Amino acid sequence: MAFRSLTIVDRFEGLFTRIGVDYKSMRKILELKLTMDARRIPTAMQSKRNQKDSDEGNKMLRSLWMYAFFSLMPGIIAALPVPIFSKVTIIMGISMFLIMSTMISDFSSVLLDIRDKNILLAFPVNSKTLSAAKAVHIAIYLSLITLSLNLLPLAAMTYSEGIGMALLLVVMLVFMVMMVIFLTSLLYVLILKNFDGEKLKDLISSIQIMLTIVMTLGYQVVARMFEFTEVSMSFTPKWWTILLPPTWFAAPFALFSGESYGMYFVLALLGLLVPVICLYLHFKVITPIFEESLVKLNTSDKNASRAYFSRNKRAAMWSALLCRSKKEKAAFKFGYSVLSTERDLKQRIYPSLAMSIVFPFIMAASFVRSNDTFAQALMAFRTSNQFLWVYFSVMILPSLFLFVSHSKYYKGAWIYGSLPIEDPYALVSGTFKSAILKYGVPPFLVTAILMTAFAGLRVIPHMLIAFLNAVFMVLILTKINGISLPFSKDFQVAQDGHMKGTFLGMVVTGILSGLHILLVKLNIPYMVLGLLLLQTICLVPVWKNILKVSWDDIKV
Amino acid sequence: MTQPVLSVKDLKKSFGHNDVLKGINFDVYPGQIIGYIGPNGAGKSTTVKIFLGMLDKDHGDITMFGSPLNYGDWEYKHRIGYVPEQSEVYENLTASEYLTFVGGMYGMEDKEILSKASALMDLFGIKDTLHSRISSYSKGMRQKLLIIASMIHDPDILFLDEPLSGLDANSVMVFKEILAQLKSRGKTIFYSSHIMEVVEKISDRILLLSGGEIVADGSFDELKAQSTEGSLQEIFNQLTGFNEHADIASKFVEIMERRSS
Repeated sequence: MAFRSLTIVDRFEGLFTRIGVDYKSMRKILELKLTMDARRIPTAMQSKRNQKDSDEGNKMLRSLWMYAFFSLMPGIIAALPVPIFSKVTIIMGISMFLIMSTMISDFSSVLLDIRDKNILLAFPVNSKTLSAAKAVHIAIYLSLITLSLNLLPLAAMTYSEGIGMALLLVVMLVFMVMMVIFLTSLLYVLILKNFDGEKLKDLISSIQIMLTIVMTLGYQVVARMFEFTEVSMSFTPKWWTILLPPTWFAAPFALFSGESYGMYFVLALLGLLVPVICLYLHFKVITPIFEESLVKLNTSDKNASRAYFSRNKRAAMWSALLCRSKKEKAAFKFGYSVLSTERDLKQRIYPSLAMSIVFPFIMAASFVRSNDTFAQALMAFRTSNQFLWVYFSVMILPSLFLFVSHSKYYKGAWIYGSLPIEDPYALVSGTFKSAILKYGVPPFLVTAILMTAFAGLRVIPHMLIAFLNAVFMVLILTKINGISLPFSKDFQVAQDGHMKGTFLGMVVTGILSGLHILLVKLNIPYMVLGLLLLQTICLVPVWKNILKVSWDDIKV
Repeated sequence: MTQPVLSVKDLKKSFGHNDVLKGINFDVYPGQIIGYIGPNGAGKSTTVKIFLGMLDKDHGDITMFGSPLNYGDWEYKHRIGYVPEQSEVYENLTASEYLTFVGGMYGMEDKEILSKASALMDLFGIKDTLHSRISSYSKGMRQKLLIIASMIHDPDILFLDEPLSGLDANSVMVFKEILAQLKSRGKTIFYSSHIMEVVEKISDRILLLSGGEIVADGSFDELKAQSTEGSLQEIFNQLTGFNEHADIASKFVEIMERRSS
């Protein structure tokens, strides 16, 4: 594979050789690393990974386009006629957040690569070459990310403020990135020093989840951006502005546009000095400690946390409540533990869980007339049937249960074969119950409670009906897609089947919500309670009927 | 003569056009340690998977614990234990969570499982990792966990596929002694491995699978008497018709020494 970025690095061959780097080896290492980067699927593309995943093409480069899209929001801001200080502060803030999160979520595998040492140090390579390779790698990665994340702001800046200011933005971005490098490695070191590797991986995974959520919801925000453009954004720095690093990088812009307010000098000075100090500290202080603590990465504390024990106690309690047979209970606890600890799974479903909570309200909000006050809008909501937007949750949540048959450690599924299990019912039913309890009930509860808070107690039975409908949806989707053993399939396998399920799920949700609306409109007394009763009575037989299958019916 | 605990008659299995097992026959009696050996791809794992009900046979009869074994049977699995060759487990779980699941499926109570598990892990010197995620385990610790998982329900037959991999010398000694004691209690061990020295030492009977057939069946001494060669390794080579090792090795070294200039 040829990399354009490396041809730029090639120009500095002489420089590298002069400081004692074996350039040929360094280039080989970089080639290898960039090839690996190209094949890793970045968090920003996570939602796209369900689609056909061809092996060709540089995934890293493709994700840059994604980032360029995210620069839409700061890009719009850059084009607005707002005071330049406020403008750049916002751009820098967004950039800093995005760069730091992508750095933690995607680049962590590079920063935290201990195989690096284990593999490369076996070859005749000096350590200077290794660190140079690492530094150049980080530099290439960060320049690509930073550039694509600021593509539109840069264009807009050139247009609205002139080429000079755009160039200044490039310079200030470099300084900002220097600080981000330091902050990220400092964060890692602090965690590795005080906790074990598992904690760090948990943190990385939560940040990945957060990033995905922010990016998904970002679409919504961008769409609504235009409505808020009239807000005036003039802002004079006060003493506490010092606490906001993005303002440091925005201050030089104010100075260059002729606002020589004393505070700007202080901020600009911080913006230039702090990153330089940070970079120095990064290489002199943090990196050595970092390399040392990396050893801890694959360890985990021998003393299990209190959270772990209380989780297992909770699982045991719920299993006793919800399951009949001993085997189903065992499967429930097993499912509960796997679902609580599987980071890959969380990464895939948490963003959708967040969507399932937010979406009903986004839809409801779009029906608010623009000149209504909040109280008026609330009043309108109270008397309307808008609470039925809860069916967005009913649509999103059940489709997530298709993931229960997947796991990063799917190869461990041999164990089911060696155990005395008559039919897969106990196994499937137990894990399904744990999944519903763990990932179905909490988000739905949040939505239902908020709906009740806005629309009044009258909607509680409707929420219960919707929830039971969601449970039926899980069963229907399972019936359509076929039953697989829990955690027995790789995440990477093509999920075209899921697409079919998700689509059919939408159709079925449409029908169910239509019937529910009809029910509300007809307004026959006791109809709601009657339906609730019917659903409750049907649930157990339908559950058993669909999940009770023989080994031969299991979809491999 | 006691009843065989496992009896195999004319067992055949093929995958597509590849005939892996071409009709194998043997009886296994309680208290035997069987070393099941053969070249890579000879069908050792396939045989074991058929015994475990993970694969269906194409042809033949298997009798286990005195009754015929059919695909889909499951009750008998209460009485067998299995350690697979690849030590794949749900490693985001802790040992205690994993063992609670396995034991629960054997119908054991959580309390019983945990007290047994922690005592067994203590004997293997890994008790303090009972509540650590398996992903933080070394290869040897993982193997110990799988061995414990295969025995926690006190099975009568053990199917072990390369169970020593990753274990240190001391643990290997403990494990061998465990097998010997299980044997004296009438348990049966069906053991496959590539390490001939180990098989030679601990098995009382060796089954050699090659080309889909059992080409040798007997104690090590019996095999030695039939053969002109001395060690099990040499018998193995002779019976599987492999004698090119010196040839391949010298070619390997020759290519290694090549220089482009």
